[in-house]
Amino acid sequence: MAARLASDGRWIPAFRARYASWWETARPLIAEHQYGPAFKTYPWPTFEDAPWTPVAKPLRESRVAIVTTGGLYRPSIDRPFDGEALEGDPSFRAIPARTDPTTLAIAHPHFNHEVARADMNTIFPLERLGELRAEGAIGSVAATHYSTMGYVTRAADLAEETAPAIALAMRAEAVDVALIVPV
Amino acid sequence: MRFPRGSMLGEPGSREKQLAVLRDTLAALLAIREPGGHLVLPYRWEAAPVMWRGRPLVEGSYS
Repeated sequence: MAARLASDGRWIPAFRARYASWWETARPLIAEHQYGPAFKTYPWPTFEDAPWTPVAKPLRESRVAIVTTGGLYRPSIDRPFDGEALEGDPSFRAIPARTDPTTLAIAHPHFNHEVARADMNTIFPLERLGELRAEGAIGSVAATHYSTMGYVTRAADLAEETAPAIALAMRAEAVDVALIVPV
Repeated sequence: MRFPRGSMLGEPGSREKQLAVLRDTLAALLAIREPGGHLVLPYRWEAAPVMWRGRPLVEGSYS
């Protein structure tokens, strides 16, 4: 039986149509880094409904995985994100929990990396999660965590490809809680 | 969270604050009962302002 995920995709066809016309005017602006004017007319999705999954077990029994949008990847192991793509890069990277966070590269170009370089917990709190597990606040830390890029205009691609792939990978590792850290 | 962009959990090395943010965030799993719900956390940035493109980011600023 193929894995299914509950999601509301009703917004996607209309969004794709509006996105196509938005991109025609936005592309030259974004090419010149005029993000403010470009995003004034961005076709932000609106949702008629959102699937709701009630919490099934106490946090102290739950397995937690991080999703950070800091564009983190393992140099020499993972393909780097495309930080120059005008529409952003909607792919994701899977980061094993045993990875030393200080060895991760940061591909997201639109924020000051100094803070993260001083302490990766500020955008990827893997070490802190381990401390919460040690004190019994959470059940376990997932074997795999995830990073996407923080700048992606193609929201429909994120919804139809990126998010479901991450969710299925989390399900395979019996993850109960996804901690999303926006960057 | 009213922290500058790129430092969602708090100041570098601020272990207790980072843990507090995480505990409150995870507790929201039970506190929030419907889609779109959110909590406002009381923590404030207590280090020098984060600079971006030559300017200090205002607390809570994302650009």
